[in-house]
Amino acid sequence: MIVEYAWIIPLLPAIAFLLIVLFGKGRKEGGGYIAVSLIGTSMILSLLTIAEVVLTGKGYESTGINWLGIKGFQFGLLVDQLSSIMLFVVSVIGFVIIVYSLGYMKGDHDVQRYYAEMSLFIASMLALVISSNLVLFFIAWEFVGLSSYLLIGFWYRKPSAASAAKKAFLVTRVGDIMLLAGIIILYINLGTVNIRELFVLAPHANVGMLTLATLLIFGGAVGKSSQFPLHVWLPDAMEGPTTVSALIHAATMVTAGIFLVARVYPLFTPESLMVVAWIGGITALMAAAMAVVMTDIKRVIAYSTISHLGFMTVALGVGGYFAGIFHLFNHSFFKALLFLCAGAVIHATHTQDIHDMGGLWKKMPITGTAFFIGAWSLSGFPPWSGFWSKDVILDNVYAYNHVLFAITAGAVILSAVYIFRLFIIVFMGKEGKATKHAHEVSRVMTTPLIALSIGALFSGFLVFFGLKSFLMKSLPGNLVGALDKASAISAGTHEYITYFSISLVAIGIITVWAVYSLKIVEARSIRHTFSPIHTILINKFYIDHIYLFISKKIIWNISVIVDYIDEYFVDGTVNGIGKLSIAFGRKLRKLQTGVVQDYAAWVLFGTGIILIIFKAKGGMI
Amino acid sequence: MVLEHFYPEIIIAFFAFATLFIDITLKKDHKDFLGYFSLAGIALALISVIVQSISTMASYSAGKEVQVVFFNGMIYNDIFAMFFKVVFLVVALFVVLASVDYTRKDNYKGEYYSLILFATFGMMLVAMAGNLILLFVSLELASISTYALTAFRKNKANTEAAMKYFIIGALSSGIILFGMSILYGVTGTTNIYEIAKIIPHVKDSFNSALILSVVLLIAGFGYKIAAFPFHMWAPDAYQGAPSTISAFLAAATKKMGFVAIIRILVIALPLYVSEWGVIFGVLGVLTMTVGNFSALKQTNIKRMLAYSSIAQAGYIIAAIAVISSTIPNVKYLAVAAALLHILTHALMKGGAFIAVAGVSLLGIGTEIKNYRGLGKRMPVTAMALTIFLLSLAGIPFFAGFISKFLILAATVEARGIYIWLGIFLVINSVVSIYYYGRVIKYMYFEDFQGDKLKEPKLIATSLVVLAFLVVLIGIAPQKFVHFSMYAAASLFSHGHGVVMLH
Repeated sequence: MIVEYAWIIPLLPAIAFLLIVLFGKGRKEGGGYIAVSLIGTSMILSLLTIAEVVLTGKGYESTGINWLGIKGFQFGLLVDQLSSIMLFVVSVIGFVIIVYSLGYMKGDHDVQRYYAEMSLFIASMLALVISSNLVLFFIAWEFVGLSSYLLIGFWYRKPSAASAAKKAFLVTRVGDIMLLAGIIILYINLGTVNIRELFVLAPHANVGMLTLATLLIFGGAVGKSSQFPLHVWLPDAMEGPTTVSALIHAATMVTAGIFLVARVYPLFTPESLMVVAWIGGITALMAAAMAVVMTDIKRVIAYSTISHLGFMTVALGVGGYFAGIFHLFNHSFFKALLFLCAGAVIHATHTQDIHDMGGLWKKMPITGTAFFIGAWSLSGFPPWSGFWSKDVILDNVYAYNHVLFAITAGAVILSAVYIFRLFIIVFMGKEGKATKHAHEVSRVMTTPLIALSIGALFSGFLVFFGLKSFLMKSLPGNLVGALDKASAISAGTHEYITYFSISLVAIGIITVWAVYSLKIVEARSIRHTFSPIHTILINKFYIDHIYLFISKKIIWNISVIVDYIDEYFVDGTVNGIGKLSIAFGRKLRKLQTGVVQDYAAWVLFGTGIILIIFKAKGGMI
Repeated sequence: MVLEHFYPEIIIAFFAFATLFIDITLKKDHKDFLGYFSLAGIALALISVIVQSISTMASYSAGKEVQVVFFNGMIYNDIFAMFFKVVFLVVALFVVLASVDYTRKDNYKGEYYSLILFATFGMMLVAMAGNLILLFVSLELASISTYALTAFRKNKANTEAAMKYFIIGALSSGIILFGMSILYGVTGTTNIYEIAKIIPHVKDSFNSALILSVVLLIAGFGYKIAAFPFHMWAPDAYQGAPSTISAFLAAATKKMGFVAIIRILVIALPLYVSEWGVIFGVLGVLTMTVGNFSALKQTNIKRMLAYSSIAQAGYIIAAIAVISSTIPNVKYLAVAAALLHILTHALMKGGAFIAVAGVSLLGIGTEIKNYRGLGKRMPVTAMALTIFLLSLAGIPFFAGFISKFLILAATVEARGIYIWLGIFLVINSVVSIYYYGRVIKYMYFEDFQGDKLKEPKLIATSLVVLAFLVVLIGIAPQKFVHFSMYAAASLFSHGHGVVMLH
């Protein structure tokens, strides 16, 4: 019923985009109310749609529009259990953040552009979530990338913002190309881009081809979800407004890569899943380690995001389909919450350096409490949401491979360390330089914090309300059985893993407490003892340096040669052809004499020529 | 009852005469009424053709037999004919709507509108004609009406254009008639479908006579469709004629040549398909090349559009050449592609000329350099013109892309040497972007200080609707492709009541 009108869901924010572009200019709030009302309506519609999917227990796929009659190119919608969950995340968090923006972006001189780009982002993200085929998915994916680029570079007069936007665009582009290649390989071999049709065809397809295609598709996810080695863009992307970081670089766009892997999950082969798992594990650990040493409040949370995306990836890789998506769902709430708290803090203190802050809890009680809830949830200490999904992930990883389990467990400890380090430095202890004039932010900003806090606290409890069996319906039946069998191995060890993970988190929290609050050991002396490691971490494993070396030394020189060829050879040829065409045109123009007798002569001449062609063809005249 | 199948024609004929009579009774200030009056007639006829074609297609897909042949084979009212009638009536509708603004200060409005209606009536009969004599007479009815329309304003440019158009037209009519008379002489009948039955039994010694007749028909109709080297009159006539009439000539009258030549060649002379296939292939490539390259250096927008429509006719001719492919079903695709391009070209070229009419009405000349800053001065007109030009260039998400794509698909499906037609089509499309883009550049990217002008309302309305249609076909072409497929299938069903859609 309602689900048939799902196409309106992305349409409304798209209309908001158009309206704001056309009419936002004269308004003081720059079209913020247009965005809030249309995105709010879209949220209500998606909630109704999700309710219907939940109640009927059935997914919906529209027949779609067959553009140009090309086989397999039906542009349609697919609203199943997986897309419902994602739809919920995108529409609810999108709406909450747009409301928060009313306060946060107030007074910015270019606020109209902000709302237009945010609406465009939400529209394309919603379209991505409910598209039933990979081509429409890819178009939406590119639009999402475009709006992310625009929003990272929102304060484009700042050189760092402009270059961060460029970096994000270029790095994710590497993944996008791979995704497109993967889609093309699937289309050539299986003859369709429709996701459900692919599921039906996949079991009979060539395994090598599927491995290659899914690895390429995973390449797209690596770019978008900021996985190692393409994770370098996300910390820089923090140059955008904090609301953008919360919506795009924490809750929705970066999880689009995870969603992509989950969307085409039945196509993955064990070989390609192994790559997924290891990339995820490495990312989780590396990013968590880097988060421990960062001093910029947003960068800590950004590395934390990369790390948690790594958790989701490793979960999907080891066969924890539910674990990955469940963590995506929980993460989007507590991470958006943490970002919005960071935004409130930055709004109040006008700095991002955590050493200038301190003792903020007293000044900003609501923000502080909200941050505490987010941190608790993120650390994975029971009973709040992060605990539940992290628990399932560790379970699944343990059943898959013990080395990978050790890596993931390490990342879990570090999660607790960096987030409570951040909390203690920013909100507790002595007042910092920038804390003096700080005060609690306005109602329009605290209300979204409260709303997200509720999500961060309770979203994990959905696991007791059949979230798993609900989600599993979006997979083909035989695959569900196989996944269940694999996870059954860990059934006996389940409790021990849970205790183990709780104690890991506790160790992490106690360490941080000892170092930063009780100051039993000076943080500086730890840094000194492990200074080689600290140098590596603070330099982000030198990955940026390697990329810079490759691009400046190698690619630059190749570019110079290519440019030379282009300028003198290709351009020369192209311009030559252009000049030749125009010269030809000038000659042809002379044929037209304007004398009607000449025209008549041409008619007769032409008739004669046609007869001659006939003669040449062997006609008898 | 037979007459119920001919409501559109009856309506148009009635309104044509009625316009003349009402003209006598009206005072000079009230003559604009005639425009609205003929508009009503055309709209009525258009609605009834559309209803007719929808119900015919519905009966076909339900497997029901439909009466197609009337008056002992004089008239074949199949979907192929209806498709063209829709094209003619749509063009006439928008031309008349724009003319109300365009001819507000002119005299002889009664004659103007009734001549448009008579020309439309003639073209509709050509589309249905199953008999050479009816075809020729209707062709002349339409042609002579348009000669007069070209000279409508009786200034020097008009008269010269009309004169050239008329002289070459008369010459070509002679050539067509010569070709037809040979056909009659050999077969003893003027019914196109009878000719088809007799030709296989004709003695071999008549072979060369028949080939001569094919050549003469192609040469004669080549003038109507402005194929190279019979195209020379077109730029002069389109430039000299009033802009609304240029729209009518380029978008409608030219298509009349296509309906006649397709029906005669495909139905009556399928035995010579390999011969006329080659001629069309060569003519198509030459026509599109000459049209595009000549358009490159034009400074007058009407002349540029005239050459552009020669080039576009080249694409259609190339599609017709693909009919000679021996691969099954490709000929259906080829005809459907040609038909769809005829429709889309009528919309976008008609729209472009109407936009030019609107611009020249406000005293801006027809030189391309006069279009500087038009995007600010006449936003609606400039935006619509941009859409038409992009569509003509074949940019995706506009109608022109879809139909050009179908033609390309047909050439690729036909394989072999036909692919070269596709390659030439693509190269030519690239060339054409230059001159279409140049106009857009002048309108939007050149500085100009000038006041915003008040755009003529009716012209703006017709432009908006046409632009909407162009975008609609570009985004959702299914219905239109379906229509042209049915039209193609009904052509090859040779007048049988049942059509198999492939």
